[in-house]
Amino acid sequence: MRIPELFGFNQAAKRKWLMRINLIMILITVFLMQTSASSFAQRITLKSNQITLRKAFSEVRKQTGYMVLCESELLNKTKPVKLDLTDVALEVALEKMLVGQNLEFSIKDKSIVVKEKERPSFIQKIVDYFSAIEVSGRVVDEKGNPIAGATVKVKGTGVATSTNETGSFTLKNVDENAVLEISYLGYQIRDLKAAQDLGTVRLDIEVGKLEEVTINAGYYSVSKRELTGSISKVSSKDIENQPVTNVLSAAQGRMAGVSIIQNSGVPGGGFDIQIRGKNSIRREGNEPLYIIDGVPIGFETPSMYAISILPNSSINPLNTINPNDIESFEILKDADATAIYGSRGANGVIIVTTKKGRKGGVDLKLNSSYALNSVANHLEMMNTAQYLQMRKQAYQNDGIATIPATAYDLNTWDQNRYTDWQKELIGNTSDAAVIQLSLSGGSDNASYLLSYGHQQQSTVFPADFKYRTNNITGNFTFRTPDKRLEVNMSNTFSFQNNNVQNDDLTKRSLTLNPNAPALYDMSGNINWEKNTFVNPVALFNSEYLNTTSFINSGANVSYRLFPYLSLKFNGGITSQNFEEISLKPHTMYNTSGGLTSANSISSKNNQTNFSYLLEPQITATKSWNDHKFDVLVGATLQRSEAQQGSIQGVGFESNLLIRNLGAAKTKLVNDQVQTQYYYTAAFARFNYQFKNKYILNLTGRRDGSSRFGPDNRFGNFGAVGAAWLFSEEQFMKELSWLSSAKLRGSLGTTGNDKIGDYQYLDTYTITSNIYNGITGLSPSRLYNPSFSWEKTIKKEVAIELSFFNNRINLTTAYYNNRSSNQLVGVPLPATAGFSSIQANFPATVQNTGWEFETSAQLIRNSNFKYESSFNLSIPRNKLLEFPNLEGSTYSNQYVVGYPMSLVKLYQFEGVDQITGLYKFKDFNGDGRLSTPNDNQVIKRMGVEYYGGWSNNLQYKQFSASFLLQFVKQQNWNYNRQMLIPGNMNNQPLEVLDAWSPTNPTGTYMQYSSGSISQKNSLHSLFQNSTAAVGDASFIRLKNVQLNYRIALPKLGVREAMFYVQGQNLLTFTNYFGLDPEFVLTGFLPPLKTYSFGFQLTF
Amino acid sequence: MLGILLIPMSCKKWIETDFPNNQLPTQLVFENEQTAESALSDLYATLWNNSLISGGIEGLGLLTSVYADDINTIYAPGVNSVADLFYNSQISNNSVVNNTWTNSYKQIYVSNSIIEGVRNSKSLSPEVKNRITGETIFLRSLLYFYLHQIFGEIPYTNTTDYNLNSQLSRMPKNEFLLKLENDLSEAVKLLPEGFRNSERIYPNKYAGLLVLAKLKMLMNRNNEAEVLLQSIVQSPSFVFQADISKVFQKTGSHILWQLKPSINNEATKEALLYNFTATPLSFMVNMNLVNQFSNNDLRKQQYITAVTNQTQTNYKVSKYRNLAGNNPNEYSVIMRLEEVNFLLAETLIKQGKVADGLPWINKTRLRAGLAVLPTTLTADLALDELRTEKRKEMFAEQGIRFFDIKRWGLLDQLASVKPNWKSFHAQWPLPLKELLVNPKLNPQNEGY
Repeated sequence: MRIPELFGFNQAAKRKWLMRINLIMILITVFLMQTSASSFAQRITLKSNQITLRKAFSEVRKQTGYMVLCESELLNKTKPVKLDLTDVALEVALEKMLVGQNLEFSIKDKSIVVKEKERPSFIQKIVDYFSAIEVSGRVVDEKGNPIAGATVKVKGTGVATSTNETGSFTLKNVDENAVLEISYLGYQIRDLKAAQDLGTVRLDIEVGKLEEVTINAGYYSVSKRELTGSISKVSSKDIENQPVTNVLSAAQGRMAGVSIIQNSGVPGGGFDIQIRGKNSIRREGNEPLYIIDGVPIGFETPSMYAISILPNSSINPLNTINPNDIESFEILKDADATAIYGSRGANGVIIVTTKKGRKGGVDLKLNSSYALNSVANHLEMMNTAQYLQMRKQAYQNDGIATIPATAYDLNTWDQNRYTDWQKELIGNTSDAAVIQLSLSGGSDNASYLLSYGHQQQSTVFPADFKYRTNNITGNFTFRTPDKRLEVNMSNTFSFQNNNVQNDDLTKRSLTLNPNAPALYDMSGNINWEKNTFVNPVALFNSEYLNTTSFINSGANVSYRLFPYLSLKFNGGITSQNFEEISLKPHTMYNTSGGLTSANSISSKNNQTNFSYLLEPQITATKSWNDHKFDVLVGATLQRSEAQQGSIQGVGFESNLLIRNLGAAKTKLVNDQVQTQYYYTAAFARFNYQFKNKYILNLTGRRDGSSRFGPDNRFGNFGAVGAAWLFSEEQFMKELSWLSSAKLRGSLGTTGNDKIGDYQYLDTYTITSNIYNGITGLSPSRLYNPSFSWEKTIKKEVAIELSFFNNRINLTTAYYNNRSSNQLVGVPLPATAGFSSIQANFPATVQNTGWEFETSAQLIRNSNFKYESSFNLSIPRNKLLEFPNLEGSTYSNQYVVGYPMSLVKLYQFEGVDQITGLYKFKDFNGDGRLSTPNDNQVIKRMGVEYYGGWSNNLQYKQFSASFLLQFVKQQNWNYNRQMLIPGNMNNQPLEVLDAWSPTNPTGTYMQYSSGSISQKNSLHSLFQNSTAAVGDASFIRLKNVQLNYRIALPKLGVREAMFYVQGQNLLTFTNYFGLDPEFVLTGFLPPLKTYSFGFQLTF
Repeated sequence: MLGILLIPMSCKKWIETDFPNNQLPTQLVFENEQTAESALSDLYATLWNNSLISGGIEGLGLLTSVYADDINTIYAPGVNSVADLFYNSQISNNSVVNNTWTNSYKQIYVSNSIIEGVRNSKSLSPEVKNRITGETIFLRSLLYFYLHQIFGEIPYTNTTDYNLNSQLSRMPKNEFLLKLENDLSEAVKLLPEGFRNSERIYPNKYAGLLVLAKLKMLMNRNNEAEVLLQSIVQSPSFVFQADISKVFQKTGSHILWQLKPSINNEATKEALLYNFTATPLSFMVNMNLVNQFSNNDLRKQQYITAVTNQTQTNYKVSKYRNLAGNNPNEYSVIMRLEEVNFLLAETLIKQGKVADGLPWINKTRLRAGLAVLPTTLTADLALDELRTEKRKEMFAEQGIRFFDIKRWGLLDQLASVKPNWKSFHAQWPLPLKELLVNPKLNPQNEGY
């Protein structure tokens, strides 16, 4: 084992370093910037009669701040030395230490590398003596493969050449004392003393080199070093093989400024994504733009029937992409990055790039995994004895002597029966299986990748429902031998099939009485317990089924017309067919209703979307002397057409026919809607670099959208971004510990046109209402033709720093986004006829925030690697101004100076010890509690800060990683959704602490059966009081994985990888409720998952 | 390069979409009789589906009966918004209260939109304009009338201007009633005397007169009301239905107005709502009402039906009987001659003409197999008999029972049947949501 040792760090110091790096790296770097350069002198004082080199090197580190790198084995062979050094130069000191050790040293940046002396042969020495020589050699990468095109330069002269196909080079007339510099993008630059035959020169991959990371900014790619905007990237290694069906689950907690919340633990649903805060008041107005391989795909599929099983009825568009097919996932955040997307960039842009084939042999990969999911958290609920005691007490408190006949739990049902309904209704372990096969390969002129994936997942409900996806992707690239023409095609075909019952049982599992009767009777039929029991499993006779087939095909052609000018064409089509069926057979209802299959209902909804995109572009690159220009000009033409129609059938001869709408006795054909969305734009980017350290990036877009009235259709958007690589400045170059430093900023506008089609029209819509055979027409909306583009002004400044040979990277960004004319549905009272009107929000909303991202390669040697990265986002939202707020419909909703997510609450003052009733503060002192006079407490809901800490470890063939996600937030707690304690619903154990004469200090009001309106009102006030809001912060062990790689050549397996993963394994929270991560309460929370699998590469 | 830049500039046409195939410009809707009729049809269908006059769970027939003493529910308190009404424990965020308000004002908005559309129309004939306007004003007035009864003082609007409509205050009672009187008088003027459809599924002048009469009675102008009611009973269009088994069949000439289901043979909402076979599913007749019927009252079998299981007997409302897929002869009756008779009797008795009033009460008594009332009754006793008789005849229809006892000032007598009843329950709370969006609606009704 050859583990280089890192000198100068004793154990304690190492720990300290790790802690600091991981937790407050920001502070460290600032500290270093201020102090290290000045406080460490490169002079050594060291006196000892007998000192080992280990200790000596430690001393060097302490006194100079320089790290000494030396292989352990070498060091073991050294002898202790005697030293008597007083304030001598570092170089001198090192020479003294290495006398007679057969070792030599070199100093680069702030590192001292100590290695074995290379002894030139005698003849060589003589030859070297003669001046001008011809130097030749061969440059290879870390695996020994030749590097073609590497630059070999004689330092201090203009003489240079580059390596040929075999990696070889020859340079003539080189001074024998000259130093050669060999460089290649992404590799460490190597300096060598000139020699006639340099033999094989190996270049090592640059550790965390900035240039290595290329960022896909959509219309163009840019190296991270030259990036002027703010773009977060998650690459395939963070996404691969995770037990998730949507890549967004895997991206949670990994990016600063990106908040992702999964709506439900039922697979196939939606996500709530907010990139840099909530820009719009409308939920759907916050959706980012999704682009898969250059083709924008439609946003959420609105479902007609899924409202009670998939929260917000939303189905995320990325459900169509297999996470394992994704090469990288980029999120464009600031104006510089998003302005080129103009009207669609306000909420950020998510760019998904699928995997491509690589040059090399044929790769056949088989990946298979199996996962088990279960609900991660349970609420502790009352048992039967506690529950019945509460119920009886409630009637007593209400002064009701005769318990009504309808209180079946007390009068009819078994008083000793107990069921844990959470276990019964949402407690199943669901399983999920994934299989994926891919074939890839390529040569100089062509590459290909074909992949097929299949996933299926059952639900945690006690019924046989499944979510299935199938994906086929193909990616082909062809290049002409002269590389002037390149053609790339990416195709994705996916087919999803989601089958669940019509309703989520989570809420029911919490409120169902613990002594409620058995779900099934002796003969296995649904038990209605003589019509006293609303049996939840009757729902399993209902069914919700959706199928989505999705095709996304993108083509990208580029032709290099002149060395500096290329023509590009990007085009694509997206086609989606969504079909959903809701089956409600009469058997889902109580048998005593006398219903028959004549009452069974079957509904079917079809939506097809077809969209095509044409984007001709011209790019030009030119550089001379210190100037470099990059210009891109392009246009977009896009047309989308959607068709939607639904049919309902009522009454079937038998439920066996329910899937066939044709068999329905009565058929109702609903509105068949056809909508068109046409869009066009011209866009441009102008990038100028001076001396490789000053970068200016201008982007702009002129957009036209059919979603606006004829007078408001066009809008202009643009941004200016700039970066200063100040580490390239002479005065910074001296700071050898600083590898790179960049200051960047941007300012610009983006827009949003996500308001739905035709909203500017004054129309009547055909409805499904029929009277006397005449189909109805009703007003479509309140008419407002004058709304126009939503524009958000985004500003950002950021600093990006890298230290110690790029082993530590830090990005700190501050942004400020302002929107003063958001497109919203302004809420209206019912007297206006519609609950809202489409209009530009008459106020200014500001989103500001800090984002920190840091990553460190803490340990990196051939056997052991440890990387850690950390991100933190601190978003702030504020209503800056709102003229005439008092007179508007928002007067009770918003307060100037506060976030848009505020809620106004009653001040809860506990339970009156004498009456046993809730007390609230009567702010206006009028003796009654009413809105808006007495709900005066303003709470800031939502996220205060959030982030993630991920760690990757690799030891030989083992690799492991874990991700901790943390969120600091306030949200509604269980008190908000609680039904009045004492009525016919179960309650959490906390409710046991209710007021009674013997417990006058109880936290809950005296139990009540729900039939006293005064108590109902108090309970309602309680649900709207400070007691219903609580800390919903959590730290979650989001993902843990352990991989083992091994080659099994005898089996023909080039590499086999075995892995074990866990998702949502642990949650630390003080939250009172089922799960602190949610958007809408009452739905199944995200699941805890264990998975294991393997990947074989042939 | 310039060329590319110019493409979208010169391509305004590129983003010109076709007109959506499911929408029509508002202006065009009212330039054509068929499409104008479609707009009105939507309103009627909505009234059938989900409105105060619907026979379903949103209708006043059920809601006020549950709220008062005619209908009982199996739901436990605190579980469901309708149950909260039954227990008189509703608060301002009750979803039924909210939906009642929201849906009605939506329908009022649609009415205003139709009235405006017709008014601005250039090509509709004056007759068509009058008929559509008359019907629409009538429907709007009916909704206002009921809303006012439920919520007390409420905002009034006859425009679609959302700037005005989002800032409305509650209109003082007297001003509001005068507005309604004006509107109804105009509707009566515009509506034709005959039926435009022989199935009586559209209101005509007489339906307008009935509501106008009820309004006048509310304003204690019984003599004026009497005149209007007399004109209805004297019209040859209406004939008392003597066969008790045919009262809720669609063909009767006693019907002033009924709503037709959108699909042929579709069951009425009432039939579906109240039906059960062994034990009640949601609602059953309150025993307080059951006990009002003497055993020889035919209505005890006809209008309600006893359903017995092993342990108990419950009564279901059985005015409408035809269930899903098998309904050849029932529509949902909104107004029938019996109500006119009762109102006429009331105006007569209140004016001291007891003997003139009694025959109008006797009509339904005779039909139910009961004896005629003695002619010697005092006005007070006659009114008592009227109340009992009207309740037995008209229960669970259009909130008649609740609005009667409210008009008669007898609401607080409910306290003997409904333990939670408080005087302030005469009105429902205004929906909390509305008060928050439009603070001008404050103050909330007393007691909430």
